Amino acid sequence: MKRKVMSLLLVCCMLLSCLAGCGKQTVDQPTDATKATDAPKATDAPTEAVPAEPITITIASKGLGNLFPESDEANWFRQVLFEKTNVWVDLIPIDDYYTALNVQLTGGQAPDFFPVDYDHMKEYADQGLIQPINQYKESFAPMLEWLGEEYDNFVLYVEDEMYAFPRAEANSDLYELYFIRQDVLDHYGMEMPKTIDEFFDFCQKSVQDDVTGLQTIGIGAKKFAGYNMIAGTYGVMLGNYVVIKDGKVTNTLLDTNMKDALTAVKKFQDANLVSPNIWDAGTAVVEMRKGQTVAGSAPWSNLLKQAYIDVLHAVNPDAEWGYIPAFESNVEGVETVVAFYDYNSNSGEKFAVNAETSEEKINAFIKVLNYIATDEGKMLTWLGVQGTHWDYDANGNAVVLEGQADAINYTSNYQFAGRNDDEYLAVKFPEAAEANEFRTHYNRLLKYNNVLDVPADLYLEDMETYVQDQLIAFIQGERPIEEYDAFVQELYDIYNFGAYMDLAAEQLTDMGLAK
Amino acid sequence: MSVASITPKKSSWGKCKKALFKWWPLYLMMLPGLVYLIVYKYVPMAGTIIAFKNYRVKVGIWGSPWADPWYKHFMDFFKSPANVQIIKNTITLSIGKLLIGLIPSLIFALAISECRNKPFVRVVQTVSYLPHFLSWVVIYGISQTMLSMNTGVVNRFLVSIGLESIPFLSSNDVIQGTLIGTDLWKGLGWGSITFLAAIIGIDKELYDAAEVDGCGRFRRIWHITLPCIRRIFIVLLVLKLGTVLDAGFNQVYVFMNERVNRSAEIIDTWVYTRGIGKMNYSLSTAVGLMKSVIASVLVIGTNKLARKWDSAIW
Repeated sequence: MKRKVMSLLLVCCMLLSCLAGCGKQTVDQPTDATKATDAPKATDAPTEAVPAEPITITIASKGLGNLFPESDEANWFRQVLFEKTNVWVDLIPIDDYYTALNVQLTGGQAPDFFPVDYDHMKEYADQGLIQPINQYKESFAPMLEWLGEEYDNFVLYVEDEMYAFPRAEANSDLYELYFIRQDVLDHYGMEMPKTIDEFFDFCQKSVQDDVTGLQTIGIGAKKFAGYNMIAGTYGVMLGNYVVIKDGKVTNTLLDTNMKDALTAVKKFQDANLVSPNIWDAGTAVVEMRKGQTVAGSAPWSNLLKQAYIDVLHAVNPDAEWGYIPAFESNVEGVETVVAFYDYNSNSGEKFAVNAETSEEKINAFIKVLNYIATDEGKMLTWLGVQGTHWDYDANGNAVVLEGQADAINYTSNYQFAGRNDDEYLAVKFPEAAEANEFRTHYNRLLKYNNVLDVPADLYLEDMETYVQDQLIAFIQGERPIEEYDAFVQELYDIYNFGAYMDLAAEQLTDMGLAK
Repeated sequence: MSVASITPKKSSWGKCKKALFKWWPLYLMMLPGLVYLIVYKYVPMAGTIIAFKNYRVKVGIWGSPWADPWYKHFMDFFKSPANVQIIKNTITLSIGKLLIGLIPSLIFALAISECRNKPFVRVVQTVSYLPHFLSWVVIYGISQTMLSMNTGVVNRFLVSIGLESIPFLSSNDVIQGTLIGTDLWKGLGWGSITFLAAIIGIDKELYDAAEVDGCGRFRRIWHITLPCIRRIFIVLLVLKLGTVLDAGFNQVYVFMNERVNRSAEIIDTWVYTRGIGKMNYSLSTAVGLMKSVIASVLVIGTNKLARKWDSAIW
């Protein structure tokens, strides 16, 4: 009898545990992250100073950085922002961002606000997963005034409904810079290369001599960026880039100089001057940081922050990065292009509002936006608290106080309204001031892919995968460059390239950008 | 009139009731397992209906309109210009992993069972099981250290003996071999457990008799061990065929990059990026459903075939 009772109890326990997952979790139920932040809300909230009921909002973030505080108690920014706005802002880091966000939105578990690009904003608006914010426009007028009216543009709208808050998004495409090891140039007594032939000689000599003593690599970069250093001298970038030339919509893949560009790129590849690890996003950058690579293309922020310069100097105290001006063009009448950037440089990610987010929370977020759009709020998101983290020097310039650089490292996560990038970088990263000024002189390729609305039945991703694969095949010599025209024909025949370009022409003409 | 004809025949429901009453504690203990299966495995099957609808998150399954035509999302997969290549990649990797995964595990199990140095066997077994517990992200990190073109241990060795580096992780020609090889390394020890269990269960007297008859070690393996574990080999083969269209999403997703997309992209990674990544859940479900139907046909077919050798699962 005793055994039967025991088995009965055991069965009940197992049944309950089986069915535990069937309970419906309501959207308003706090997530683990929210629960964790409830503790300081109860204990730390300065209830006397702020009479209104505090409110907690959750905001998605693609990544918080290595120096983000591990606990809310250690997060001085969160506390200060609360004291100023009466709003607890909880940042929710999301890896593999859009896929995870899709799943969270589907499951009703997404944060209250999340950054989205134009494509995803249209998709989410179409699915009813985000809510329009037209009626709040007056509430965030101070923030918009601070930003400038030009930031209230088409990338925030879907069919006349505003779905995202304006934001002065830093365009990381414009961060791309061509680097060269100045100490190696000096070692050889060479001048800064002006043509890709001189650049080839420099890379080849460095690799042959193993000038760094670390199994020297010629060119480092992420993915196609290294090859584009050379292709750019023919006025093209390697990939499916929709551009406008003489008022007509075209594609870099159709450029008559593409074959010559591929031939020039192949010469570097055949001489083993390009890092074999460029396809692995992290490895090639690490090679550059430790000084194994003598030249390359990378965003300045990947190499010139003080921490990375320290790594470089730990390996070789004499190592020094120099910056390459655009190489001379190889085609008469065509200007060299350096990397590319999207049409409407402010087309990056803006904050959209979860369809489930309450009006109270939206108003709380607007309160935060309006605060960080004041001079005080701006400096808080740039450099922290005056007197604690930064102060003005004798010349009236804001400078970070000694030993505070790590403490303010993560404040950029809270720049929900964006920033004036040039002004911000000059103040926060004085070590990269020269590089940031240098990169503004590049002539970059303007592409329009980001504003195109491409239907799923054109299988754009499949075409882009094929394009990348075949461009690599040409560069690696797996397919002769003489077959380039046949490759383009394959795009037309198999991948609907004609329909894609017709659609691009139609949409860009409708937008008044092309004839 | 025979006795049998006048005895009232017990209905199967009656038999069932009797068994239920007699063994009720056992049936009761079976209940949570049944509930688990029904709640988590059978009820969600109803969700496959979205393969035939244009599923929209906000309006839910029932509010979403039916696809027109009903097989639209199945066709979306087959109309993709990349589908031939990814189906080919999926089958090549699956068959490769199946064959190259099962046979070395069998050989490894035979070697372990024949080794008489027990402490050595224990160490080898433990070491061989360890990779099974590593995630693919960790294994990719190890692979980079070992197989990278310029800094990998293997390639540095090859170069040091005058050979050329092999782009294990960055060549369309080699990546499938790398994927199969790393899968083998990860699963070799773990995969041998079933075979070892089967070998241990073989009657020792058979070996003694064979020894008396003058059989050497290889003859004993050939005439006793292999025939005795044939059934378990076929059972594993049947079960593995059920996953023949799952070429290992986690592994492939970690190892994939632009350089090797052509040879590495499989159905699951394609569905992940085009389906889940684009909120096209109907497409994901349609492809998942199609895979399940094909896998069921394969399992049933192989089981029928296995019946010829008296090794069927059911």
